[in-house]
Amino acid sequence: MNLYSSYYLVIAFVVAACLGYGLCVYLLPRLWPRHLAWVYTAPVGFGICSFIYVVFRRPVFTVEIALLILSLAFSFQRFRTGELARKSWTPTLLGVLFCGALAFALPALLTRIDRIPHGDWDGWAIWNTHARLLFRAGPEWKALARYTFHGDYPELTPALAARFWRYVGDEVPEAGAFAGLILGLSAIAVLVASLSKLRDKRLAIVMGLVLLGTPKYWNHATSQYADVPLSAYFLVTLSLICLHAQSEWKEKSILVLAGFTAGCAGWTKNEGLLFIATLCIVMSIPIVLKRAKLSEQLAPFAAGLALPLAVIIVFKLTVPVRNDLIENQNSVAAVQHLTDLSRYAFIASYFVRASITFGAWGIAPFIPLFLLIGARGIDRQILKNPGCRIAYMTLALVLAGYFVVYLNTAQDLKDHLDASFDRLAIHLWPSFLLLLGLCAKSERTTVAQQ
Amino acid sequence: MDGAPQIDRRQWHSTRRVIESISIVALVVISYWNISIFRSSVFTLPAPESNELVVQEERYKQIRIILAKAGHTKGTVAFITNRDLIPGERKEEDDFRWGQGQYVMVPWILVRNGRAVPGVPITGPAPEFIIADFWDGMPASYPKGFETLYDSGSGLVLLRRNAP
Repeated sequence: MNLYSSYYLVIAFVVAACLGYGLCVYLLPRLWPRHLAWVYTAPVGFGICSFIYVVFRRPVFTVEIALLILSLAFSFQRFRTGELARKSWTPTLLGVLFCGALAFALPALLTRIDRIPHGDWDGWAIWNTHARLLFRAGPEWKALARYTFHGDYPELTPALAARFWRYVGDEVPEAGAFAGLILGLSAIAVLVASLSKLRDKRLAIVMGLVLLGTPKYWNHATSQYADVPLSAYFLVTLSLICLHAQSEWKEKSILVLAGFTAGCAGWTKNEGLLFIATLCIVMSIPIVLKRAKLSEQLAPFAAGLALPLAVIIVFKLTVPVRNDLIENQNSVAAVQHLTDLSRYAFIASYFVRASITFGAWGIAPFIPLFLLIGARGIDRQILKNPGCRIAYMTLALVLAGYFVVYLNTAQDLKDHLDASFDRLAIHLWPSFLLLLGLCAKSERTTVAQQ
Repeated sequence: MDGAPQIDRRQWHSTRRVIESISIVALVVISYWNISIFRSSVFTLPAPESNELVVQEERYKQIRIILAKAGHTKGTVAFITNRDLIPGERKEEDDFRWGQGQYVMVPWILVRNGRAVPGVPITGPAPEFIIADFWDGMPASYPKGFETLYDSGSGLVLLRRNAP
């Protein structure tokens, strides 16, 4: 990659960020601090641009410029009227250490992208191959997808890479890795910003540091795999749901944005579809059990989800490839698998063992992490918060869903777990840190109790 | 009367504060340690020039140009290795090379033994062009009825079926 390509990559990123910022500013409450809109900018902007690229294909620049003008005009108006609250930032020792850790990691991240420009195995064999198909094959890409590995996989990351290439005018193989890196960093920003608002800055920065110090997370982010982007969309969605529940006026537009980012998760990997289904089920529970109004949560969420879901459905219907996990199934084997108790025990013990090692840590952070939460004290109010309840249940059900997929896999069970468990754990890791942080009492509460 | 429990409570809170501070220090140190492990794993990676796919891109570059010049800008191209000429023990490296070749050659479909890389059967007439990756040594002879369009010198050969 040369300097010329880097300029155009930056322009492509800035355009995506402006589109994302415009939508965030439009949908997030006016009184929220400005940095909260900033942290959601990249994931939302990347989602918008990915959909535009696949839906519009050729006039992609025209559509993006039109939306850019709208977005800039709207953001400018908000700035001019001073509707977005500014928040001053005073550096703390922990904040400085956090920035230091980021500066310590960044050269290694950029070097890894440079040394593995096409990504690791799945990166080039699946995601970059799809990106090349989108970029090189013209309108025939859908028909040709069946001749590539996992042609049924959703196209958020390939479309992002192909869009970057359209801006550069040439194929820059590292583009997918930059998208992964930006989404990985965005997840840290979202984790810190949302915990900072929902709890306190100290806890937020510590949780951010734990995520920052997860080597496997960075391996996947720079390998051009879609797992870190997916984990970012899981986190963004759950954090928005939690923020909505704790917001003073319960603005439904936050849930519209959460619906959109959940749709982005479904557009990133098939596991995102499980996430969407789980969220919809969990959000329906109050409607069924407590006769809550549809318009309270589910309707605004569905409104945000509608457009991404429509694109996913059209994609799944028009790309004639069946998922390998489904295609290799037969009912006799499925019944055998589901009734074999030894498989349950094997998967459960594997989950427990691998949960401690999936991050490829030199030292796993769990003991001090749980000590910290214990020392803060568990916030019992958390289970009364509807947003947090949704987030906890969703995470648990997605994990249960992964368990069932392994239970019913047609592949050799151990091989399947060895090949994929660490990636699935990475999907849930940033969200787990958010929810673990929410379990703890905030500094303010602890001080007040003293 | 209330003094003792209040002191206990204060002590408990200060103990909590100490545990919290120790945990935070430990987490900061652990995070830096883990980042340093990530750094050391990255800085030992080989230079990009020796990356397998960078090498393959270079090997296939001329083949893409020749195929485009020949007017064959899409469709199928056969892929063979030494095992397809002289049947022998199956080698995983052959499949790996086929996958890499497919990645480089998109949107052409590299067909081996009537199948595309994910195992999807390809029907229709036999492809006019063959890409042969003789990565483990050149064979004594090429398949009959084909002319050599390009030989990379590194074991990669492009063949074309002779007109009947």
